[in-house]
Amino acid sequence: MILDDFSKLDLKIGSLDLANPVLPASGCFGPELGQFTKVSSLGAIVPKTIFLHPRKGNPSPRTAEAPYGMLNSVGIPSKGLEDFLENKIQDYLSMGPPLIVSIGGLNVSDYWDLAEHLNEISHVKAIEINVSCPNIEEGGLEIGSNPKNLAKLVDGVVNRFSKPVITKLTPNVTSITDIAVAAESSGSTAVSLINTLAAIGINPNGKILTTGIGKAGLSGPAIKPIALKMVWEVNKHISIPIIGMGGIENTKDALEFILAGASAISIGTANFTRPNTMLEIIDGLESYAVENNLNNIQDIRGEIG
Amino acid sequence: MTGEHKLEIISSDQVAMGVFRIVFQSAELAYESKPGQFLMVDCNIGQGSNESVFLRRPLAVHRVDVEKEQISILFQVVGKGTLALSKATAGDLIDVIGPLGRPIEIDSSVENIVFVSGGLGIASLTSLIDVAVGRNLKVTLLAGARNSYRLYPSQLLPRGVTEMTATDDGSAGIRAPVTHLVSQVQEKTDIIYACGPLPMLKALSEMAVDGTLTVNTIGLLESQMACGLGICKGCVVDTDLGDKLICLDGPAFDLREIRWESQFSPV
Repeated sequence: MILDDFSKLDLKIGSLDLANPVLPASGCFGPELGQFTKVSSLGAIVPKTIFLHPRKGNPSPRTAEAPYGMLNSVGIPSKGLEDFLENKIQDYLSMGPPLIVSIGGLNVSDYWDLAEHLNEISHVKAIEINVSCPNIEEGGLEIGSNPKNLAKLVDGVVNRFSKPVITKLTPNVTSITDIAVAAESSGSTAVSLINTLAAIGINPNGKILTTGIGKAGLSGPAIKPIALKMVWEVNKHISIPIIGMGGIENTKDALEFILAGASAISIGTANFTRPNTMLEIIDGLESYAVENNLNNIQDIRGEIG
Repeated sequence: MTGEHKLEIISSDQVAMGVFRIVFQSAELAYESKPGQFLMVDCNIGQGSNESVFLRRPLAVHRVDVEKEQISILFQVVGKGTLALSKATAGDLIDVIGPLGRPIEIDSSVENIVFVSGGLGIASLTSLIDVAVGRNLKVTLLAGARNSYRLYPSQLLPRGVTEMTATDDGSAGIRAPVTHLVSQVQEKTDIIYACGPLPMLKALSEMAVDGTLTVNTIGLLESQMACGLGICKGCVVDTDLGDKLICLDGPAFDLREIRWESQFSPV
């Protein structure tokens, strides 16, 4: 069924109005996808994480096959804020849906500076803080792996950015719930989870790792049960909206995340292999809501047994 | 136009040791595909496979037959993706995205052209060779492989190609890296197109930098790719002009511009 009017899918994340709960995951979306899918129908547009200053990513090879998923060690290359505003933002704005800018940094002040700059740009409707970046001040540990550091970071962003702030959580922690609670209490409008799981690949022909720097992130359906569990767990401890992600490939997967407590869902790796996945899920969720006489797909959110 | 296509396999055969050729029927791709372009191929064929291949595999458009409205791919079995593909047979449907990558145009001033192929590099070069032969250029192919069994069969090349071979074990042509043949032909050459393993391309790069190779040399680079569309940023190549993506900016690069020292850690 192809439906033009997705009347049962709209939602609010803070002051952010979304036509539907299906978003691209940062790092897995770009203007190039426009030739394969209808990007104007997405709930929001989320470009790849930008840094304040230009930065190179990791050496190749950067991607590798894994069972039911992929490894990446791309390393978030970014041409910096200036390049984003001068050369890229227009492409994203012309797509139509609200723009959520994902920001990264190597120290807290980078994030804060980005938040301050982006606050001035009316077209930027929200920011997502990518806290899975190595914190140089803390010996390279992911900045989002410690609740205290994360709270300081989020608090500073919220003070400088008056629109919705989404904190994207790393799963590479002892308790993702503690981190989610810290994000909520420091003023996050929503949390998104999960980022990729730390992983490596080993080439059986030698001792060399599959990807350029060895350390990689695992994504794809292989991580879906873990992501679902984390969404389910976090939902029991916070009351702000959750954007769930991790291996979602179809409507059934998306529904599972909503049942576990997610208000919205993001599609990452599936965009690489099936570029029209997001549109199929939007169609599928609307059909589900119609067939089950729901007023809105949100009616089943968290309705897990 | 570039998009997702379900293609029917017309034939699949083994043309050299571990080297397979699959021919597809597709009017659209036969008309649209240009030399240098590639497809992102879903290697999950039929319902029979018990181990799924998650990522698509980037495979060059090997040859185009506009008259028959067919295109082909050529690949060596190196992992589970290509192994699954090698088992495909006529009648199977394969899902591909393409054509992708920047087409290669041979400059109209070129009269003498040399192709350097290492191993399966020939897969990407053949459609360009076909164009060059069709234009009545003087075409030389320097083909290297581990041994004679792995060489692309000469009888499959278009007529009019002068072929010189090199193998690691001397079972065909000279016993040396294929790059050793370049000095014999470069004097009368306007341009070189090369495709093959990274050490081969690196050797040509070094020859270009140290002055042994004076002809403009274009390398067709290959890489693992998750999407082939420019989104995953997986296929980066460090060049004098900054970071480039093989899928969007390539596959053809001037070999002198590649910064090998900060690139391509060994696999």
